[in-house]
Amino acid sequence: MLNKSQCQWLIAEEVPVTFQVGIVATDGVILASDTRLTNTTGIRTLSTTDKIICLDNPRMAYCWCGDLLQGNAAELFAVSSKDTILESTEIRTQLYQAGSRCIHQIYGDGPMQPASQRPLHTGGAALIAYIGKISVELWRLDITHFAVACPVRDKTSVGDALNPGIFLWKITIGQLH
Amino acid sequence: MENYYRPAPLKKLLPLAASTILLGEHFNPTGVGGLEIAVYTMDKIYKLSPEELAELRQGYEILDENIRKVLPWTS
Repeated sequence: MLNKSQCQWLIAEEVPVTFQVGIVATDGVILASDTRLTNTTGIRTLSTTDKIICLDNPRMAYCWCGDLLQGNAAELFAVSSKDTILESTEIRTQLYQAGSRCIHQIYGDGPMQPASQRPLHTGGAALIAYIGKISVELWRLDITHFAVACPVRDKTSVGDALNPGIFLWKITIGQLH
Repeated sequence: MENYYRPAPLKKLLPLAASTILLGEHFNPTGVGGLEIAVYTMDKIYKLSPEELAELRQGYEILDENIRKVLPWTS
């Protein structure tokens, strides 16, 4: 988990330039992602990685764009919901709490402090496919200076702010969630 | 493709998911690349195999080629 002393990780240039979509089908959920990892620590390099993480307990999968904060929040949600199957209202609450906790670890009690005093957090979002009691649910967790969790009923996309791919989605599939 | 999404079974929506990511690669090849797809049903969670992904990629390339063919400035 991130803490204030580790905020130097959150450098925009070091995070994956990512484009991901989540689609709700009548019989399940699809998560799709690119696999490119851009690293500019030292020499700029491109590599390939798996960006979708599947878990057995809880039965869920997630992927994220932006910096590591979104991934950590999704991981925290997974840990907190282990050995149980959550209802939709509980999912929303726990996602919000996980996101808020990660934000607090970065910003402390002053998320709205002046930008110059703020650790660099680029913002981003996580897509979470969660197998509930009745159906598979697709959730989206957006984290800027606060966390917002919402269920997705049809389709959504996430991408890094500087990634033209996110604009591509707008002109092809539809409105951003 | 605004109108392409409709509630449908997974099998029918997979090409749409793949095409969207692959179009991202087309427009931003230095930042977006590769394809990974995971599918979730009540019974199982699985990632598509390299063969299945290759098939989806091929389908996207055929679609792209067909669109190019019908564009008026290519005839």
